[in-house]
Amino acid sequence: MQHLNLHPMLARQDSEEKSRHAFLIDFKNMLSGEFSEGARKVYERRVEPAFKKTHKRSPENRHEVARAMREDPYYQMWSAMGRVQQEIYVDSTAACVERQLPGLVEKYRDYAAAPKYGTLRLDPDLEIPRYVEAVDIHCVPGGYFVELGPDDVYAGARYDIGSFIFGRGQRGPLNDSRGLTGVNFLQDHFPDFAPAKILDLGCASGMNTLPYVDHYPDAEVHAIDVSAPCLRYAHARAEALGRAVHFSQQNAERTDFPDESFDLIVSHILFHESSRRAIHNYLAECYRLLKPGGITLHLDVPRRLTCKTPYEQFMADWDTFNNNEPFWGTFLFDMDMLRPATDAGFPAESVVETLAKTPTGKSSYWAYYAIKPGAQ
Amino acid sequence: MTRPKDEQQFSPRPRAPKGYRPANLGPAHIEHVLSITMTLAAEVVALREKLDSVIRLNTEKPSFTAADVEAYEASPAAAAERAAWRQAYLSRLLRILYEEIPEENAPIRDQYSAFVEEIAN
Repeated sequence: MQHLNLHPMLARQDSEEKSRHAFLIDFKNMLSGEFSEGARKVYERRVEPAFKKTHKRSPENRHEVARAMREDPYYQMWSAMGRVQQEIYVDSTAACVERQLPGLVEKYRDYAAAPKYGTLRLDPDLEIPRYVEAVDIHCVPGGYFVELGPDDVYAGARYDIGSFIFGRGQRGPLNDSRGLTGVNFLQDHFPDFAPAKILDLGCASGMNTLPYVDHYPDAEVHAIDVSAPCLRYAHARAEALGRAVHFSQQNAERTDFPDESFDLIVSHILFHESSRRAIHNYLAECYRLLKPGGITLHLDVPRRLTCKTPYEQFMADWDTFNNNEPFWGTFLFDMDMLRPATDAGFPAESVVETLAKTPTGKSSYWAYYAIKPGAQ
Repeated sequence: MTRPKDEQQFSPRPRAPKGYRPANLGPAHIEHVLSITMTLAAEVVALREKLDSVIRLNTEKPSFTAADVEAYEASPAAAAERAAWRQAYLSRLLRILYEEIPEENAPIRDQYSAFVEEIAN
């Protein structure tokens, strides 16, 4: 496990929290490692044979696997454990941030009063889209939007420390493995691309925005999100880390930037938290905002391309039903991803859906990009 | 069962009160109990690692304070020992899950009686 970068905005874990979190990471590793392997054996040796006996064939899709597996006592226990692990880790990281919240808000106020690098623009009248607000995503009470007091940064601060524990310490000291994957991917596929203006959609706490600042030092980097507490935290965090980002509270479906404002528009794990219509709207907005020759690149969880059998797809769909991730299954397996881009105006031949290696090379993210026609 | 007087002077104490014992919990509460159990399990780790800090500090710096315990950073070797302990602890804690993973070619539940017959003959 890697260690966190202890930047000034990061909530500090006390000794008991460090122990608890180490345990919760080990617990999750066991559930997704040998006990997930156990679930596969249960399926192959018990559930699928019983299904075949009844139906004279194997399950044909993830829904049929689900109906059979959900009756199995091992799967039931494994699934209950997974939910409990999530709840306990969320509660522990939330308590860690809550007890330090007054100090974190003070630090935010200090950075926001005299920013040295970037800016923050909030819009108290912005309508929060129902698809990110109807349930508390990933079982985090209050979601991305709860405001515990004036100038609150609670949701953003919990997301930062929480991301490290949720990602089992594999996302790097700054929780930025998605952003790093994006810049590496662009470097590999478009080595001569030098965007002057970059926009990050759904930036949350801004963890994945900062690698673009580092990789394209001459670019002007903007980042938007619908959550005010996340943006306050993101702004203070970027200031604390000395990176210039212009944050604003906007819905990526329709922003207030002028047409053809950006050379590069990116997002990280935004799509799987969004409705089908929102994804179509994001692509339409990307097309409007891109300069001719501009690129839009979206990274997300890789399972859409890596889980192929009905059983693998069923297991990948666990979060939809057990972890408050309502669009996980829809995005992962049911959506035609060519349509949102071509409907927006991107030529079909410019649309690519592939895998991008993470910085460690040990895993991949889903990478989806399209290029607006015209010369750069 | 009351034992004969020559074997034991006193009868065993009663183990259940006369009256009605309510059943308050339903199936949904199993999940609640699991949550409570695993929260407690995490506290055991926090306590155990704090005790480990105390024991190691006592060797390194016998006049340690509560603040020393809080700030104690395990050396790489000590951290590895703690990680190994947590793994062994989790294996003990979750042992019951291994029992539900069927062996390859194991009989499924509704075939068990036939299976017993088969190996008995």
